[in-house]
Amino acid sequence: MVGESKKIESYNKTLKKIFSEVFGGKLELILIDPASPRLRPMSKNARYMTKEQFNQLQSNLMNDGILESVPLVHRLSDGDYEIISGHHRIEAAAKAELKSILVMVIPEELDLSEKRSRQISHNAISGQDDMQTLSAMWHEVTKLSDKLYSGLDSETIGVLEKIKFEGLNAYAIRTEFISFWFLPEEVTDFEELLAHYTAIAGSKKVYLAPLEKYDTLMRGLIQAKKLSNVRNTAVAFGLLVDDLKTIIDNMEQDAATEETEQAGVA
Amino acid sequence: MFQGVLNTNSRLIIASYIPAMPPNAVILCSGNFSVESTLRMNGYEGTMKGCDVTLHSCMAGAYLSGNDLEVGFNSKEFPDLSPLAEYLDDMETRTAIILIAEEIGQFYRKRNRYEIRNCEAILRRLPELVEKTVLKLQRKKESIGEYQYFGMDAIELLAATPDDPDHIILTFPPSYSGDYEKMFKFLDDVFPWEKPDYKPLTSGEEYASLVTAGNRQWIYGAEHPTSEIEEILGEPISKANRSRLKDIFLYTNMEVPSHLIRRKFPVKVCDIERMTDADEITEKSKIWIHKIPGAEANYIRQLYLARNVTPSSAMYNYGVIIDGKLAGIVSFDTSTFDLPEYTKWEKVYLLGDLPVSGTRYKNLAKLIATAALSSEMQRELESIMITELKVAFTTVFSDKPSSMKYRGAWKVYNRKEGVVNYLGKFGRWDLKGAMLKWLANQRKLKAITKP
Repeated sequence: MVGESKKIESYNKTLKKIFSEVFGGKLELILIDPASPRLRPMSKNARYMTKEQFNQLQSNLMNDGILESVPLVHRLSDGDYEIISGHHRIEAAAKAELKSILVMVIPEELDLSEKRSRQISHNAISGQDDMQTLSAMWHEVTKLSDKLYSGLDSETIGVLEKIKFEGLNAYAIRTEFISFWFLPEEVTDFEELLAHYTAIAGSKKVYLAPLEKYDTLMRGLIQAKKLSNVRNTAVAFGLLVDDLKTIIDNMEQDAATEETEQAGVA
Repeated sequence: MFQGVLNTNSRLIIASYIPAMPPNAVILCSGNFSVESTLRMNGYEGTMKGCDVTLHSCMAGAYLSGNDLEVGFNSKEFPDLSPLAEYLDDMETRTAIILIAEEIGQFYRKRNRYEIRNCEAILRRLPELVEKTVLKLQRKKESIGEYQYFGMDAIELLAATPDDPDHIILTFPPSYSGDYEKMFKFLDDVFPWEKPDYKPLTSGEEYASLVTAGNRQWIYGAEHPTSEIEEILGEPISKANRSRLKDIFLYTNMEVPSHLIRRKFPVKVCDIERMTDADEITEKSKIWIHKIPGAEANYIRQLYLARNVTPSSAMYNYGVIIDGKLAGIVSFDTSTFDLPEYTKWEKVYLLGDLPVSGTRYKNLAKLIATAALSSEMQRELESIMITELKVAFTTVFSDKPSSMKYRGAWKVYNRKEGVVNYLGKFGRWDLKGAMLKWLANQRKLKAITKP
């Protein structure tokens, strides 16, 4: 390892000499371990990658063994480097266990405004893709492994047309969404509210109920679920309705019996 | 409902290969006729032959190809299903009955009111369901057009297929041989029939070798590509994502473009202002939870989810808001975890909890994880799930013995290699209490770290 770092130090001296001649000390190029604590990320970075994108980048780096593009950093007063552009590339290179990567260095510490403007510009001034050309290029990438490498996919490029398809299954029983909205009783503009909540709920039927009844219904539904060992709320609701029917039937029977008895007495 | 291997993404890719296909297509293991439908509905004009060995496929295949298939009815074991037997005389209604019986099979164990209700509902509406299923079948038959189906083993049909490049073999062999038979056991039990003889696929390599041998063209789909099988099939030409299921890899000897469809989550920018390093949490801060749509939760996850965590969409997503700004999100899903101490109504799975980054607090994650167990969160989840919750359960994928953010509020339930499962009891504090507790810890931490 010591030998390796000495070698890198020696390469960096040579690179410094060349870059000093070409760019007059305004820019340097160094080799550095991407996992080095001397490479510090910026406190803020607006650019993000999805996990899939990051994984692909890491996988590409692992396959290649090198990072093919060069991140930009600036040298801090303590000699460490702060990343301006290439946070994800450096992180992915470290995760891919690359031993060294090339990094461009602005040799002086930039103030906050300067470094932010560079950071933003590297992401913002990045151009756009013409989809027709991109699609033509996509067709030239023939192997699936190369397509994976590219980071895009056929759907994003828009090369797959929509298709017609219908499965072969039994006709499904029609279900319908109904909604219950519990509102404070002082609400009076019933029609307007009903139309409003029906639209929000996206359901065909909306029932309004006073807010104070909410807990009662909830308790009833939870109890029905527990007793019948089901999770489905519609089934629990159906059980409550069944119970209610039984109660009404019993009440009607009681009333009829009472009427008969009274008639008998009369 | 029949569960096939091919999903929307795979069908898109197969349809894109239609122009390059030769004039005779032979589909081995037709399943639910997804390949046949994809080809015919999207312009394939050649001849089509299919085969399979299950009752579902054989009955529908016989119907689609204009043939007949007789079945019996096991009235001794299934007297409650006798209304189905009334429709078995005619091929069209018989086919509809097999498809409908497949639906009944999902609920036939009748373990609870839900399953009983579904079985009863199907039987109660049988005449309507038969009539409408027949209409679906007629439409399907019309769209498939000229078609030949054989109730036989894939290997047999393959052997009978001419070995020339004018024929293409399309095959997506099921990778779950044991379950595959179990899936159709209910139908076989209810409707005794003359099953074709077949040898269950024991070796993918052997089957792949047979499919790829000779001069025919072929497309082969696999969800478990191995180096052994790729030695036979070559490099995959396409890969299609199937959400939470394994990706499907397509292989072919045709000259067609490769395709790739990656997994995508619906994403919408969440415009709730997020906490920054300028925001301070104090005893006077106001904290509440706010329901956020799944696509917005996905956006926040893309920004802040740790690299080692696989993102997934959750049913119930909430922002933890402090003084009007988003401090983090918590996402819950119905729990399928086996916790014998709790009934299925009493538990929920915490699929994710994460703080926003860029704040002045290094352990904001702990506040979010603690807020997830607050009484407000409990009430909100109870009202949306219509249940009485007692605990939340979550999993940390890590080799570390415990996770700092869960320590205290959550308890380690069990540990397995690389996995720590946590259990948290709901309602031991409200959101304000969680925040004050967290602030007290903050002060302690500061006191400890002061030089």
